[in-house]
Amino acid sequence: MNDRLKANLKYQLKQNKLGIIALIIIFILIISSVFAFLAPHDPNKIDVMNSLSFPSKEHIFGTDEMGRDYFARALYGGRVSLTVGFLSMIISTIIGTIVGTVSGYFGGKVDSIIMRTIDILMSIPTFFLILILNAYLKPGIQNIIIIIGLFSWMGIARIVRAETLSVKEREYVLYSKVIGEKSNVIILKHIIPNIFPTIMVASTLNIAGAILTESSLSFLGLGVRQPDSSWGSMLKYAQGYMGDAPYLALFPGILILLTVLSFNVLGDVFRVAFEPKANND
Amino acid sequence: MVILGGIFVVRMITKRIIQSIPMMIAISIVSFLLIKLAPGDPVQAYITPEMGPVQIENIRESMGLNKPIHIQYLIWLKSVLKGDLGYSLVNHRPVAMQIIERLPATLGLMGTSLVISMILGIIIGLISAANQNKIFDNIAAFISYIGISIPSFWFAMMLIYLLSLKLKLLPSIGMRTIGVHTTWDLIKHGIMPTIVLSLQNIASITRYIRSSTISQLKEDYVTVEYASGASRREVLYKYVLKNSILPVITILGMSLPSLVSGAFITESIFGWPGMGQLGIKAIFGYDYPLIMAITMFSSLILIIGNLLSDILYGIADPRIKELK
Repeated sequence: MNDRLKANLKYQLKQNKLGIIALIIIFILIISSVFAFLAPHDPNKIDVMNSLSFPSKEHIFGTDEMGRDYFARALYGGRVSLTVGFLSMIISTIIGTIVGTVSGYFGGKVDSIIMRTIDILMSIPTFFLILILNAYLKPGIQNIIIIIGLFSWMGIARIVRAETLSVKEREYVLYSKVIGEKSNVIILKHIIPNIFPTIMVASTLNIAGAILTESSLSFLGLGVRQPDSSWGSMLKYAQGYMGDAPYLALFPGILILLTVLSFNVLGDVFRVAFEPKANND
Repeated sequence: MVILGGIFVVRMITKRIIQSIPMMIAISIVSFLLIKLAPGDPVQAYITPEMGPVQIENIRESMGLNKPIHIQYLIWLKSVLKGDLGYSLVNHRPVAMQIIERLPATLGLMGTSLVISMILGIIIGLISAANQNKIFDNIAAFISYIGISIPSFWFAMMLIYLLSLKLKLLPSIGMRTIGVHTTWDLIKHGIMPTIVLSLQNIASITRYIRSSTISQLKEDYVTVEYASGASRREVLYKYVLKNSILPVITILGMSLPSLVSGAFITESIFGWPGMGQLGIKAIFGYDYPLIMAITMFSSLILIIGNLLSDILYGIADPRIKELK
């Protein structure tokens, strides 16, 4: 990333207060899920005498139906949700970048085959496919990460391809071709570094999408399952106690909303900073 | 000229339809394989403890599960083309019938929410663009951020808590009250699912229209209109609107995937008797034929939607006479 883009980003963050807030929220969320073990209560300690108790000084998020401290559970749940979000983003970014650069760089038949395949994948409701696969594979966080990653790279690939098309016509790429550098070297050395800002925008927005997908899966009972829990699976159980303990549904939901919102805001800040043409404000 | 344009449009439509055929075939193969390769033995549903291995084998044979996988696919495809989608492994009713029963509820919900989100999205987007960075724009921008970030199932839970549990205004489940056959009853049941299904699209359409209107406002013709004495209102509604409305057709195609995915979640939460709810049930029941049929049908909705929006775009925009 060159200095101009860094300067742009700094300027945008200064201008956009929402961007700063988003960055702070993401920072707090990451820190608190890394240090979740410092929580005052054990997230799995069952205390039936104390079940469904309203938020208090002792249990700031209250307790769930088995008397477990809901704050500690939310911290650990956040750890799962964020891990799924980040790791599946990495999978889809890698696939999307490879597919997109190859498609854009080589063009011709390769390009049209890849683009058709993406069209096909995009006309299958991927959410339903992810649901099916999750139902049939052994449930577990690992599978969820892989499945979400494998089915959400298409958007990134399209954006990366479009950028590659414009970058590959630049002089330095043409020069490298003339002096006989190999295609994979050109892609790695000249194309990817130049489209990196675009990849960063797309992958930030991708985290938001992955976290939303994971939470919906877990909510339907086809994602993270016991003994693990994520914000989505917490909401699945909270659904049964809406009358007695609405706060059980409130906290994880707000946490998902805040997280996804922050990544979406941050993605937009990146976009405006890196692509001045996109700046409509 | 009109005739020439007509020929172009017909040619474009034929071309697009032909293009979607290999897509449909690929989709059918993908969905068939995905489900076929999955574990979970459908024969289990028929086995009772007193059955011997021979009987179990007979059931397997009669269900066609012993044939090679490509033959199974071809058999399935052939019957699909005849309109026979097989029988549910769970309740043994014809799959096609179950889907046809469920389709109106889903299409009704999706259609209503598409129309509502288009209307609201365009209006809010235009007003936002006209009042760029003023209070309305900022509030709308913030709400659209929330709209694209909120988990729809949680939004649904909150609505149910507020409107059904606390205020007791709306029913939280189903499409009709048993024994009541009024339109008002249907509307009351439909309000919350429609809101939940529309929110994300309203937000993304608003954002799209806002930015396309803003970029229109920077065009030369706008400056010329201002220079020749047109009022702000005139420029906005007479000229800019026309040009920034065109992308709406693309949006129509764009918002379909989220509508289809959204329908699975929304219908499950509100017990809306549509295809989405059926799909989730089928997944939990390892009901292969039903899962395949629903994958095919929801893909079909997407493909037809995209086809329609491409065709509409070709007709509406005189610059695009032929799609590549």
